[in-house]
Amino acid sequence: MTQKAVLVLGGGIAGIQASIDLANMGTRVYLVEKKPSIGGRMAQLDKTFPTNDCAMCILAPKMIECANHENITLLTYCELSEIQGETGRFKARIIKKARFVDEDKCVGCGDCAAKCPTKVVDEFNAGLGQRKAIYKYFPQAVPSTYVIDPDYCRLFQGKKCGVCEKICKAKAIDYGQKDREMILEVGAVIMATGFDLYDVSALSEYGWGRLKNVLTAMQFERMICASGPTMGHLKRPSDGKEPKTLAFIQCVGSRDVRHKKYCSAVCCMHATKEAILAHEHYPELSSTLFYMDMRAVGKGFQDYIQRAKTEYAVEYIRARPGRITENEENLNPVIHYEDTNTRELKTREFDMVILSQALMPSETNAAVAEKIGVSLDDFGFVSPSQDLLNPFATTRSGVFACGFCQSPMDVPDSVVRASAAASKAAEALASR
Amino acid sequence: MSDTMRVGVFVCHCGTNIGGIVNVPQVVEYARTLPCVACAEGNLYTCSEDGLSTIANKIRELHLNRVVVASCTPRTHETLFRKNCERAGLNKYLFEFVNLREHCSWVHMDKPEKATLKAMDLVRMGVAKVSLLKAREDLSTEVLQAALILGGGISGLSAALVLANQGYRVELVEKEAELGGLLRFVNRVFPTHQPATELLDPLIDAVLKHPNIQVHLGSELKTVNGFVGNFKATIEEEGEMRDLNVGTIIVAVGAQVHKPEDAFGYGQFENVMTQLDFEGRCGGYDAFNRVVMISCVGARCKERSYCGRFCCIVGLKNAILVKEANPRAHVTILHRDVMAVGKLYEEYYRRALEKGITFVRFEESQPPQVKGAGTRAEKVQVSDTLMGRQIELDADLVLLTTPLVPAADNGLLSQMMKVPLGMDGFFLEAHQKLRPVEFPADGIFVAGCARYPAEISESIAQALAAAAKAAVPMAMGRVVTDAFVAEIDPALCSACGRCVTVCPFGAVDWSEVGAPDHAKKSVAKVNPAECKGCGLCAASCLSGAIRLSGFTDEQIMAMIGSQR
Amino acid sequence: MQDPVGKIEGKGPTDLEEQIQALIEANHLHLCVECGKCSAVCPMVNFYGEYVPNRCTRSVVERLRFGTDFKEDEALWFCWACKECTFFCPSGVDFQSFMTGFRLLLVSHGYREQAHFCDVCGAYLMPKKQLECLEATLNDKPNKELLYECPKCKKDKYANVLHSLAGSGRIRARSS
Repeated sequence: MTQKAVLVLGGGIAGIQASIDLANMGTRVYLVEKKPSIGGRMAQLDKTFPTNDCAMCILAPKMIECANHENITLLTYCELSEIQGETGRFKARIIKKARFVDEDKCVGCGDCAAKCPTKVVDEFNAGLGQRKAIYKYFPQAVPSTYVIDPDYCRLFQGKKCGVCEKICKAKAIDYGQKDREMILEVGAVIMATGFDLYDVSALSEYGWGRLKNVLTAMQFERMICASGPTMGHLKRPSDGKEPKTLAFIQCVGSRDVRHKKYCSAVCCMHATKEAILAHEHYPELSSTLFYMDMRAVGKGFQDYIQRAKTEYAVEYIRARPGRITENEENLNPVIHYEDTNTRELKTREFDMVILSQALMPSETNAAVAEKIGVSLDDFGFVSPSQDLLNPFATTRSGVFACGFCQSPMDVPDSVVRASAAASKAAEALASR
Repeated sequence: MSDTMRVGVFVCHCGTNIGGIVNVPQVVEYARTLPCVACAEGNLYTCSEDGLSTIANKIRELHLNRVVVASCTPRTHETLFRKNCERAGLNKYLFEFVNLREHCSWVHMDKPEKATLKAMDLVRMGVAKVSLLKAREDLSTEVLQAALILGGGISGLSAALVLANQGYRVELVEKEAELGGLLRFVNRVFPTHQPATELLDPLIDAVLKHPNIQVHLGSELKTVNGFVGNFKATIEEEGEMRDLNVGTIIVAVGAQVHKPEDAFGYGQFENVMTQLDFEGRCGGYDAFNRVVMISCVGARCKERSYCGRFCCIVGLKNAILVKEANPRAHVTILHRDVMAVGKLYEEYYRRALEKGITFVRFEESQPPQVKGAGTRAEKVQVSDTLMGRQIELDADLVLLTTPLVPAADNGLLSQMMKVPLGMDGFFLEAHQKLRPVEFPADGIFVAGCARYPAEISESIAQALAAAAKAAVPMAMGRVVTDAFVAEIDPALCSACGRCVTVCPFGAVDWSEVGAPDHAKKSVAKVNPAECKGCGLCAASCLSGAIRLSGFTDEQIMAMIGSQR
Repeated sequence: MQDPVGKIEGKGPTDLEEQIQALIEANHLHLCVECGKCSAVCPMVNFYGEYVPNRCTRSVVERLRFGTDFKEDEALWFCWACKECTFFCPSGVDFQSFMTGFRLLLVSHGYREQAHFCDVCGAYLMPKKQLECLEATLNDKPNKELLYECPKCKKDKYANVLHSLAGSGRIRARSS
């Protein structure tokens, strides 16, 4: 008896798209996401290339569609514990982690977080802001339920508190909540586990983590985003001043035998986008982008780069900088590079430097792959099937993969592959 | 039966989004004073379970026959609130959405008192309008469980198979005498280097054998009529006209390889050819000792600004194949960026480097020069940007790496199916980020090189994605469309044709009306199944013949006329 | 094995050139994508006064691809074999090992003017430029003599001294 249901692992744009497509076809979908909200990496972006659409504005309707669709069961803050069976008849054991907040009662008003005494470094804001021990993952989170982080909550650390319980009008706080287990019976599985950001402190020559005004691209995205920690204002971390000159360094950790050998696919475009956005916010700001190859291969991408050059004061220099030092007086980062086109060795000072960090399979991907019995390649990506005609198959029959967990790719490519994986899953269900 | 108007008004705080600026209790109080309002409530989050059940309860308790929700944006929440009304027994088109967030609190954050007054105005206007809304039913049209696939290349074949395997009938129309598309002319595929036939043959075989797939070779599309669920396509198959009735269409007509007339000695020297020409040689990879490839020929230039996406990889493939067949051969690739994007292709690039293939970078402003004698090219001169010097390379083979360009009859097909082309001549999808394989018009999809250059894995991905989108209306068997559509009064229509031209969805067409004793006249007619209710036609009509239900002149005038 | 790709002067390969090509391949110079990181981290490129383009690390690697016509160029003797370039190269090029091996090849084929050799056995020690610089820095200090003998000869010298000291009885093994 084929289970006409599909388990989708990962609630980023790929997981969301695959879920909606399958649900629209009448298939039951279980969308499992380990974070407290769906949305994935796209929720952290300000705008998306090459249309410069606001990321949240095009993502939120899809997130809400997932939450409201009668055929989709949203399982957030959940993880896969085990899976058995075969195509048509999988049994998946899912652990629903305790939020310590009752999902049915919480209305997402935020009174609890306002009064919570404990501040925690905010992961969603790439370490640039703080959240509380009771928090909503981001303002537009779906579901909008709050969650308590037991690693930081005073009460769970044995100290006195309980402020949130006292103040919650909906009486939604439940410190005694336990992890729950559920068994899902599905006919196919789609892996859409997405990516994490490489820790670029490993490239000590660039000084991230040590030099105040050197940031990663994700930190920049959060900074320039109106709902981010600085309300969309660019501020130098050292003195809070507005930068007038920005430098973007590409391939930080990518295309590097010492770090990640592969190309992260999206950095040439997202750095250009960030330079464009910065100039839009501050018309006197100019950017310099240090690249090796400008990989703008998608539809409309070359025109985007051209516009950046002619309308948004972006200068492109072909060079891989050697190191970044600091001007001791004003803490301006200084880049040392060889301009390979003019063969000149230069040092140049900038107000702020942004590193396009390498992107890699998410850290939980390996654990998930092991539980499902799917092979990964040397970099941790889900191994592509050897059959070129079947690019979404994995080494386990009935399990498909799509999006960044297969290979670095941008949003349009992820969305296409998510729909394609949905097609294959539907086909697998129909064939039994 | 005329019943008294009983309007329920529900004003949302939206957390602090609205409530932090607009004085919601004041707006609620004000709403209670408006004519026909039977109840007014404030909610923290109207879209929460709590808020929705409050509305449903009030509808039942107070027999409300109109509902106004004043909160965020209909873009995300209209469906939700409409469904909620429906479940509570109220026709979902008797609901009006007032936007107090994007239209009020968010844009007037520094003027809370004025924002509150504006909110009151907006709610009053909403109440005035909602009284004039009429109950309507969704339009539901049946969908034929069949798909028309235009193009029998790798995209068309993949889409055909996955749809047929799910039980749908597929009509595959191919204008050539055989299936396979461009891949028929490719020798080996990257990165596995297996023969293209190894991929194509089993696929073609499966398609030809499949009971659900009808293949029409040597066939061209002549006309397309209809709309999602009910398309009628007429094809000319080997001289005969044939009608195909389908529910959805996938455009997978592919593209062609650019031939650079008179550039770099093409056409003049017999040993200067495109990568595709080289594929056609089939074998003989070891016949050359000095191979020079020139990238971006006819791409990323004034004539054509786009990048061919995977032509660099084709170059790498042929370079590696030559080197593997003849390790002593010199293979040099002259390029303007090596577009080996992602994991697989960067690895492939490195493989080429490890084999000793040399890469030389040149500027667009200083293209390489191909020099020869008689009918043979002998040398290529290039200004190496990174070395700052002119280099001369001996060459017994010069390969020009060119991009794919749009197929010749894209324009014709675009008009036939009323789907748009982009500035580059490829088919233009509905939204570059989130709807890459759909057209604005429902029921028609695009995949593969018809949309933009795409290599095999990308083409297959798009084909399967288009198939997934096509499967949705077919799986449901019905297409439900919003009842807020445009209507044309034939008596007022002056047949100027503006609305027909201006409709982005091809929903307005000509129709003949006439009574037996009057001469027939042509008027414009809206197909409600295709109409998206955008209002462009209504705005363009000079005769006032078009009304958009849900936004009629009476309703708008009532909104304007309601006085504080 | 690979011949140089293009010709700048039109000469055919010689025995030395074949050896150089082998060294290029063994040290992965053909994997260079010319990103310029090596030049940017090299401490020596600007060291000897005004910087001349085409002498930086990356340029040397590139020019080698098209022939080794520049065997007499003093740019080949700037490097101090500090290994920064090898350490940071994202493509895995081992330029430091190449440079060391390359110089040994050059001196063995008679290109000796830029090189400084061991006083005792005549082995290649370092570029003359490096010697001059170190001489100036270590001006008249006792360890100056270390600049003129190769490690093997120095070791032999100390070993002889130790042997002679042991034989004279002036040093004794510790008694139990």
